[in-house]
Amino acid sequence: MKKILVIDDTLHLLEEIRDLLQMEGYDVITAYDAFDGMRKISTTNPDLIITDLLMPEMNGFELITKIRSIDKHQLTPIIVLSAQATKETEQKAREYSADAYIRKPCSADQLISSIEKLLK
Amino acid sequence: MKIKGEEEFVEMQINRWKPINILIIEDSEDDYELIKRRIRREGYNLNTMRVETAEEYEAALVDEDWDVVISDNSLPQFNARSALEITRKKYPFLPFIIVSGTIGEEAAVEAMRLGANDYLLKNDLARLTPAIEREIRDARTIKAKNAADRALKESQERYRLLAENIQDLVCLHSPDSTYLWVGPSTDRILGYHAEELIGLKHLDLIHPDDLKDQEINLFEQKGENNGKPFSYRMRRKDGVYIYLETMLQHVYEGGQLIRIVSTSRDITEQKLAHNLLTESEAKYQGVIESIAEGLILYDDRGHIVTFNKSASRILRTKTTSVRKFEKELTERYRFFKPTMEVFPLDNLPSKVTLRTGKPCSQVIMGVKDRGDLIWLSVNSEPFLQPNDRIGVVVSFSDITEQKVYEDRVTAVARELTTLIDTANAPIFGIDWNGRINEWNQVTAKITGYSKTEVLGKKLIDEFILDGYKVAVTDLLKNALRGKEVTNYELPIYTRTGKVVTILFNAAPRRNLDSEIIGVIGVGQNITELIEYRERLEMKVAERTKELNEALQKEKELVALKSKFVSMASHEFRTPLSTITFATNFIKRYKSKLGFDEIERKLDKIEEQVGHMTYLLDDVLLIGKSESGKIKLHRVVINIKDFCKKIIEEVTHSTKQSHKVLFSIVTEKKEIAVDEKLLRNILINLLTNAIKFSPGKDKVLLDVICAHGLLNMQVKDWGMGIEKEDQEKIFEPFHRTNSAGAIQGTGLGLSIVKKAVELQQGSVEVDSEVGKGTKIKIQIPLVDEKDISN
Repeated sequence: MKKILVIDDTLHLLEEIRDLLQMEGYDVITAYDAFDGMRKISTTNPDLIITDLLMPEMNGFELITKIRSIDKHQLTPIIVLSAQATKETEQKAREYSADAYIRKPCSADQLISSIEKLLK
Repeated sequence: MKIKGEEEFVEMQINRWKPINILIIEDSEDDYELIKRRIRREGYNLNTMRVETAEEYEAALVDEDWDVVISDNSLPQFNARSALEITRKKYPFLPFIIVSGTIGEEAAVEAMRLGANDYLLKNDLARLTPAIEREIRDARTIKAKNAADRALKESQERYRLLAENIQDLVCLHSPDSTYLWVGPSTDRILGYHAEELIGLKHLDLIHPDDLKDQEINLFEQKGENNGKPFSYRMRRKDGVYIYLETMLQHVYEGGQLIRIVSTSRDITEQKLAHNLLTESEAKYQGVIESIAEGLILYDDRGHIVTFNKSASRILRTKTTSVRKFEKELTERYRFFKPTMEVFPLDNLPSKVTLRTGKPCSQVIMGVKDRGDLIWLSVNSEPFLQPNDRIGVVVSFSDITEQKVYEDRVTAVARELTTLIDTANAPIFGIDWNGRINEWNQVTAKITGYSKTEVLGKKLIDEFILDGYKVAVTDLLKNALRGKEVTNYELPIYTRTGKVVTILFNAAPRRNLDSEIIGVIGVGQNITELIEYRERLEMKVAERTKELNEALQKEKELVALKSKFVSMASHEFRTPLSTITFATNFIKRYKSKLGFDEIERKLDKIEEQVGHMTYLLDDVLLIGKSESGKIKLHRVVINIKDFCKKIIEEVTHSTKQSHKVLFSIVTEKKEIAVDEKLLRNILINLLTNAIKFSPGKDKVLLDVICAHGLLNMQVKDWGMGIEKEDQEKIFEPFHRTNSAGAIQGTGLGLSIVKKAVELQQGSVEVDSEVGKGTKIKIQIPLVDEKDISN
């Protein structure tokens, strides 16, 4: 069973993503901010990471940089799920080596197919 | 001199009792006495002396003036012969009578030959007295004759010396002027020797031109003009003509002209000098006659000596006679001052100079005969006449044309002065030294200084503002160099210390010779214009500033709005995501889901929809307030009741997690406020206080309503706000780092701030991290009676 770490400061959204991915048969770990996320990456070793960008204390870009600095996770797929709707932000996320950029709001299908594609 | 013996004799007879001095040479006392007795017997007052030697005799001769010497023929130490010799040497005419005892014929002849006057014998003394008388008489005759001869001789000698030594040429002519005798000066004067001239005619040597002269005829006429000198040219031997001045003396004999004596003097040098003088005088006369100025010469008594042609021309008189001219001058003309008053005759320049000895210059006077008025400029000067008295030269020129021109110019100048003075614009002038010399009425009115106060003062020093002195000095210098200055704004001081601005044109001022003598400034008081312009400029600047500010604000607003829109959309996306996932979840797994699970998802959807509705309301409120669409709508409320109601609402919506401690102090129960805005403020502040103090159980609301101010304070004991965040919390969608997972639209405090500002109030934050936050609101109240519905 693939492990997916979801990091978002919006708790109700975090719950929805968890519920959705669990139903799809993934092992879902949630974190409510970037520090929490980093802690959980080292303890759980996720196969895929979904992260928000706009978070308190440490934003998504800093987080991605930190994840990539961990040898094991240099190639771990990262999906950015952000309410930032600009092309610039998406471009920036890819430069930070995010594997996918999904704008909020998105459909469940969109998210699931993106995960499946990256975990193939 | 004529000698008349008879008369002398008579005189002698009468003077017999006169002393008779007889020197007697006699060695015999007896004989001496005998002789004396004999002579005294004849009645003579006898004075005698007896000598015996030659020495005695010579001494006696000198001592007395002897009439007769009577000598013995032979004495022991002397004799008659020696005595006679001595006598005759010195006194050739002193009678010497020898009286001898014995005498031979031969001795008597010898004695007579030696000069004895008579020879008597002692025994024949009767003859003695007559002999003495006779000899004295003869001696006196001879003496007198000799004296006459001598006088004549001396006189002749004197004339000869005179004729030979005088410089003049003295000649004797026959009546036809033939030279009979010629004085020695001829050599010097005429170059002829005297003998060369004898026989020549004087008239032949006279210059032919001069022969016509009347005086020359005097040679031929029996002139009456004897003694009067006249001059003519005379040819010298060398052919050169010289000037002679000659005096003639006609000598008549028996009514017949027989001789002419001429005395001539060479006056060539004088004559040449005279000619030179005459020539120079003629020249001088020519100059006087030809100069344009009129000249009149007065003597010391004020009578005209002479006048020139210009004088008669200028005074329009035809007379050439000095006497007539003087008469005309005193009787025909009337004299005027330039003011057309009568010129007092005593003040005429000639009379003034005559009286004072001082010159008069440039006296302007009008002279009028029956015709036109003539204007003269008159000068008078004293001069020394040949008689050493002071005369006066008066010179004058006709200045009628100039005078008429000047009068016209004066009239124009007067008109100009009036124009300057009364012109309805400030006009002022300065001289070459920058001193004010023109200051018209308008200038006086504007500055408050009268003309008399400022004349002679320096414009720059007195009236120009410090900051302009250099510039104005340059400007005036330029004008003095002939450069016109136009439209210069000149600020000047007025009497009251106020500054007025003159729009100033400066032009050089010139005299009749076109020389620049100063600057004349014509201005326009533009103080009001300037003030108006300055006000306008200020207004424009103000408006521009306002506009720029508005523009800036607009720009900021646009940026803010675009940021707001982007942030608002971001804020909408999160709840939308939750809703989407929740609905997708139900759809996707509906067959697998129980009712409870579906119910839970639907609740969540509702919750997010509700949140979005709040968000939408807040966004709209902000949008409205920013576009100025919110209008204050004050209503009268009971503030205590109002607050209580809000507290209840908030407590309910926050699920009673905190207790709201409420205190209120108010002067009035009911106040006029915008209910909706106040509600927004309080709900947001209380909700925030509760949200940001998780784990605490209370928040505080203090309301004080006094002195027309509504003071509200919301306090919590929560997490507090970082210093750097305290200013940003009022920005829309700003979320502090510590906000974390706390839910909110991010617009609460923005709305509070807008709501407070709409009511002209203020917000203050006082917060410390970890200790809590205090937010104070102050809103000025309006009287509830003033609100209008």
